[in-house]
Amino acid sequence: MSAPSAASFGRHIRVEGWEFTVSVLVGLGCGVVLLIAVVFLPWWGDNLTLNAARIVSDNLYGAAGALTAPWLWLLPLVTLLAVVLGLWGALKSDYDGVAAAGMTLVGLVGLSYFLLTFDRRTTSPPGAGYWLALLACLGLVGQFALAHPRVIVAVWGRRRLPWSLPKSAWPLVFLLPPLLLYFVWIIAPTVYTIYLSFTDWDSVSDPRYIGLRNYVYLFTRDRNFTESLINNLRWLIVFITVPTTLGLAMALIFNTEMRGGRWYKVSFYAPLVLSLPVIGLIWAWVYNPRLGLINQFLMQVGVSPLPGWLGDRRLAIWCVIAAAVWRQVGYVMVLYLAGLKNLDPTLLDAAMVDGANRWQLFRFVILPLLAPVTTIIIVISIIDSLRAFDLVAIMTRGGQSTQVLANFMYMEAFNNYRMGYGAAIAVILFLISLVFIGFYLSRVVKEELEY
Amino acid sequence: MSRQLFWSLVGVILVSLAVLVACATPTPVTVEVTREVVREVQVTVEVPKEVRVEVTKEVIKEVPVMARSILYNSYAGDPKPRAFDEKTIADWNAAHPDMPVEASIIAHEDFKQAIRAYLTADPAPDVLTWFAGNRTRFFVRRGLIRDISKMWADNKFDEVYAPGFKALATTDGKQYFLPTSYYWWAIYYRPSLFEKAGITKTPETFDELLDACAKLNAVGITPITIGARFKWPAAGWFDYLNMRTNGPQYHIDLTDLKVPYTDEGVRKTFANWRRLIDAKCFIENPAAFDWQEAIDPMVQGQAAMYLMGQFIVDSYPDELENDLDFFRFPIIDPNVPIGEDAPTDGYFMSARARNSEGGEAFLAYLGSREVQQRAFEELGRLPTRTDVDISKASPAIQKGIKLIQSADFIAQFYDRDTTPPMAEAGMDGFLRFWDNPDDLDQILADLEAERQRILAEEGQ
Repeated sequence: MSAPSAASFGRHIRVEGWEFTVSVLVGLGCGVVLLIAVVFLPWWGDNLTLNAARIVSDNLYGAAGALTAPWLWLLPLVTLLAVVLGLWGALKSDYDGVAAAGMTLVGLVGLSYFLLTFDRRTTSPPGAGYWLALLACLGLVGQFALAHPRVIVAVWGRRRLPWSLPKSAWPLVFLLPPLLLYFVWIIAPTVYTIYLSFTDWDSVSDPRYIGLRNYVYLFTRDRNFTESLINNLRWLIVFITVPTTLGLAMALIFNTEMRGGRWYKVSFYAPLVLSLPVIGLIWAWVYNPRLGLINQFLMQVGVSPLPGWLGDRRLAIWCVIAAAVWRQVGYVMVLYLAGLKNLDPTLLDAAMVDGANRWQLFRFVILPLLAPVTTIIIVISIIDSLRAFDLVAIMTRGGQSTQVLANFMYMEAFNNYRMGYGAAIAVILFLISLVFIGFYLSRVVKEELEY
Repeated sequence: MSRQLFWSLVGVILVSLAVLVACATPTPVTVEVTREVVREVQVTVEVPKEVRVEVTKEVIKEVPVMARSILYNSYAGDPKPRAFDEKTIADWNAAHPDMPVEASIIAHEDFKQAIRAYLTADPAPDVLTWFAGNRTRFFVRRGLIRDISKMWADNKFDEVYAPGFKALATTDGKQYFLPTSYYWWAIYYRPSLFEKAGITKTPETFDELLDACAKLNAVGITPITIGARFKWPAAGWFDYLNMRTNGPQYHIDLTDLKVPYTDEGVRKTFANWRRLIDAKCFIENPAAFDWQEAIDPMVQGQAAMYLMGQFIVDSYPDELENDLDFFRFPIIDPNVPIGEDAPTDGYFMSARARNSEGGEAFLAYLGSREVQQRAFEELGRLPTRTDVDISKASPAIQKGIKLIQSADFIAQFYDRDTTPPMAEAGMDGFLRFWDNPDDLDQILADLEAERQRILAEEGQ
């Protein structure tokens, strides 16, 4: 008997007339459906929060007013076992028969819950999750029958399964889920945002089409927009110069063998481990004009008058950028260190034999060889500076002339409830980013062709 | 390799700790407060647990009833209000096991951002905390708030709520809001520092305030502290200066966008503000601190006054509270009526509420005398009901109630009286003015442009 199935992977000991791989996959599918039904779907009634997992936990926790459902804990158990058995059977095809049989037993256990509670339908109407779980349990029991070719013939009318696709179609099948997710979460929202930017939506009423008015207002009347653009530009210029040079310098220093070099590397990399909001909070303390680290130090030294840092309109944006640079330097250093480790030592030796001094060695050998790393670092810096948001939101909430595009967009959309206007800012930010990303991609594609 | 990895990890942890220790050197006083707060939360958390266990046993014996929970979203994120909220919910759940409240309590600022998502979500929360004034009217106009006139009538709230608060709850003749508490704004000060500077009585007129500033400056004490990093505390100064200069009706017309910002009255307000700035009344770099950080100079005896809401006492060290008092914002023009900021908080039901029956019952409970009495005793929040017993209140509370009762008009606060974009632009303008008072013409022109834009958009 040969029932070739494209879904069967690897070595397979076949019992005459039985094709367990299909059953195991169907069982696994039932397990996943069960998982979704138990965790996400309403169990009793249509209250979304009242799903099976919640009811079980309420019973265990003894919450006030909890539904009493003594045997419901069986289902999470069944779900877990079905998924584990399904994965085991699918990955170890030697044991898929055992897995299929196990899933049938597990399904029977699941069905027993429904037998016990079936008469309760009258007091509390079951929700979608309840019915879907029942179907999945029936599937778990029934999948065993699918293993027999005769059943397959009876169900589909021929021996070949409908999902035995031609080989060339398989890449598409595997690409489809990620493409679908990409469409739902990236493409569709982008298109929707572009549409919203032509409306005056306030997130409550219906959006109304107003043409280019949002854009016209942005470019002709809005001081905050110009301020944000200038601040983003400042951020960008500082970001592609200061952390890059400092990071390169530190990488060159720490690349040499030195006592405690590893400690220095770790300590400069440490800020990257902290999340940006935490960095914002720490630096807000450091900048505190009365109790902060900097002014306490300046006071000891005898500086007067003490600067106001975040309280000073001319200094505030530079204070925020400095905090961002503090974090970025370690990152750039690590990238350059990796680049330096990959340099071909023979090239360096050859240059030294030719009598190059340290500066010439750096300028004409190391720096050109590091060019690919530098490109990546500059692109990362540009993107990081364009999406700057966290630090501004935490440290000043855009006050004190520190507004940047991302925070400006956030404020307009979610504080002032001008979603259409916020969308217009988002579109402009997107277009600016697109220029740099396009430049980067064209570089990458060209380099790939060269090699 | 694994040993090196281990040491690197240890290094990272040590460095981050060192950074944290180096940067966060809070005053010992602040540390004390934190400890106190933690203790309180632990105490209150235990209460609902005990209650819950008993109730569950009971339910299991009874006929299984479908629990129709009430979804309640609250912004009582600060420790004391949060403990109060949790206790209220626990009490309700103990009495109504068939209709338990499921609460989601989040931080004040986050709540303000999230409420639109809540209101247009499905299912929407049944009961929500919110602010009276423009903030509520906005949602009422868009049909997102449920008409609770029946709940008002059924519970005879008309008879026990002061008429001013019923007016605050009413839009177009129907009640949409349940105002439950309010707090006053005033100038808080430390009597001991006033004594040190030789100030014998609290300032009642603007000149006396300027005089107090001069005396405090003479002994090296910053007269007035303010933390305007997140802008809104500056709006308190604008509210009071404008109400004292031009009267409350002018102020409410301005925030309703009926008066241009380039008006002569607004200029007079800013001229008075400038007198305070020129007299060096304020702390240096007000925009460098958030409102709680600006309390520190007061605690340390380096600053004497702070125009702030009554909630300042929640963040003020308990052991220093006997050296904290407040006085009414000084009179500038004795001929105009006296207006006070008394932002009113309360509850409403969303128009999409699933459990409208339970929501109304819970709302009635939140507006009951029992809960208001507790809010009054435990949080010192002023009750909106007239039948709450206030005889046991501290002298400070009695003084605050008198302050509000003697006012001719109650305002809600700048960012609650005007629209969100205008509030944002206005508060930004106030800080720009603070930074450079000479820039006033440009600032007022910008604010007027924003007002015109909002009017044009609403007019369509």
